[in-house]
Amino acid sequence: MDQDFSEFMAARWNALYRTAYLLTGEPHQAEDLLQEALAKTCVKWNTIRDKGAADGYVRRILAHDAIKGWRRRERELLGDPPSDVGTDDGLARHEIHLDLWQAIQELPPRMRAVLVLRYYEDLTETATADALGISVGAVKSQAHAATRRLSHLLDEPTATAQMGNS
Amino acid sequence: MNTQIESSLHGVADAVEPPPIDQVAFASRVHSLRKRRRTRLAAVAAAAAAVVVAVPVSVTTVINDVRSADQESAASPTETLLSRPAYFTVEGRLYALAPNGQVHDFAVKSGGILGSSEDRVVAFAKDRTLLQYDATFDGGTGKWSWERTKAPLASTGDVAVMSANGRWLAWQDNRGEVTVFDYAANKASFEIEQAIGHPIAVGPAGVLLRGDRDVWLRSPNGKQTRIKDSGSWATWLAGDVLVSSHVNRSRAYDIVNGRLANGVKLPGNASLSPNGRHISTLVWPDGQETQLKIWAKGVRGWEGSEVRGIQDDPQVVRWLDDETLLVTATSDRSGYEESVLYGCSVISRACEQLETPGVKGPIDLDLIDE
Repeated sequence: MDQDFSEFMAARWNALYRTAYLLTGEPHQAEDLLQEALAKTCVKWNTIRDKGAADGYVRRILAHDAIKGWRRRERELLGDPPSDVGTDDGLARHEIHLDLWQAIQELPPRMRAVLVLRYYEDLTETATADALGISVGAVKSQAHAATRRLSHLLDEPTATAQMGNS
Repeated sequence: MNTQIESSLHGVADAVEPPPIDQVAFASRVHSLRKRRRTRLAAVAAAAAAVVVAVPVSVTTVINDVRSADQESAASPTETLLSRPAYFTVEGRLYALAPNGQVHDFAVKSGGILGSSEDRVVAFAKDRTLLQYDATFDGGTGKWSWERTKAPLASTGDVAVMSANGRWLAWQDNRGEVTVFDYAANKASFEIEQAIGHPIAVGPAGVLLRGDRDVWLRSPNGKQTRIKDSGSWATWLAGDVLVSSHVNRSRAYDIVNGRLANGVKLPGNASLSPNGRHISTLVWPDGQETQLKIWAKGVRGWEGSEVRGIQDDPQVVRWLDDETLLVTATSDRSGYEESVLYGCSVISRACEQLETPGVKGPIDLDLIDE
């Protein structure tokens, strides 16, 4: 394996794992998703001219795979209760919005990916659109729809669900 | 709300403890990926060599009266088994593949294809307005052409469905009224004020409405029947058949006098052909290759047989007509790197890859996830 790639993977594993976890909501799927994305990156490492952009390359694969290739597993989860993040993943010790996180996990994969890229990765709408291969308008509408759904799920007034532009 | 989302995501991410890198598993995965790529490249090379020495023969068991090679494309299109254009998107861009192998680029961004028929395609634009193109076949030149036309409604919000044969379009407006539009009559077939739910499928038997807890079949004459539904993620309504589909189990019913009868279980994830004559199922057995079957109604009920000829892993299945199945398949199971289009003949139960010259990227037949 290329030394540069090994160093890249070692340096970025933790951060990318957290993104993968937010996209999947499940630790084993997150690890699997990230391993696959990094394997694809490794195979194409020599063709990536700007190694500084490799993070974005991996993130794009993560988002794509979370939406498309993992659709099957999303479907398998339909009808099942949301995973108990408070007991399985060691999150109960932390002060987090568990209700909101559970609601986010119930969003369709693309909507969730938009939220993760916008609000966790802090990407602009344009960068999010580029990462997901969709238009900026779609990012706006997906984010807006996601916020509305979350407001509804949490029984909050939708009037507060306005998206800010980057 | 935005601040809360940000706070929640960061809170969860901070709380997660990443596992150490499993270097052995990773090396194995890279090895497997490289091996699959080499195998695929070798197969492509072998196929190309075979074409040089043999006359290319398309599967022509399905009726196909288009005989012209379109000169507009730089690539040489190859006659396909398609009887009418097939529509797909590649990273949000809408395309048509004509029976003569010609690819048409609509040069529009689309959120996915709502439905199509021999005469038209209806797709979502990225802003959820409807794109409608009428298709015309010129027998003289053997070419298909498309013209943007006005859809029965401009924007759908999130709720619109089209019948698998492309004849009916059903939508719910923001007042809750459901309209079923009949393209054959070019007018609304019927309307439902204060509908009990939003439309999830439409066909000759009426429209399926999903309410808060139940699914209802509303016939054109106003009869409303409650249908047991255990959270299916796709429901198909065509001919006098209804298919309720989950990822690994499905049920098919006859519709008799507005009621469901003769329910049968089918393995895997099912979809119903446009006029209800065939059902396809995709089964993903653990650790084994994906199985694609086509089912036809025989004297003893639905009888299935396996479909051959797909080299990669089938992902999404859509019926073009009652004799032809479209399948996207990928070699890496992700649908991101490689996703190609196959056409499968019901008669021969065989599939062939449909070349899409000039198109780069993963082919998608699905709507975006909304």
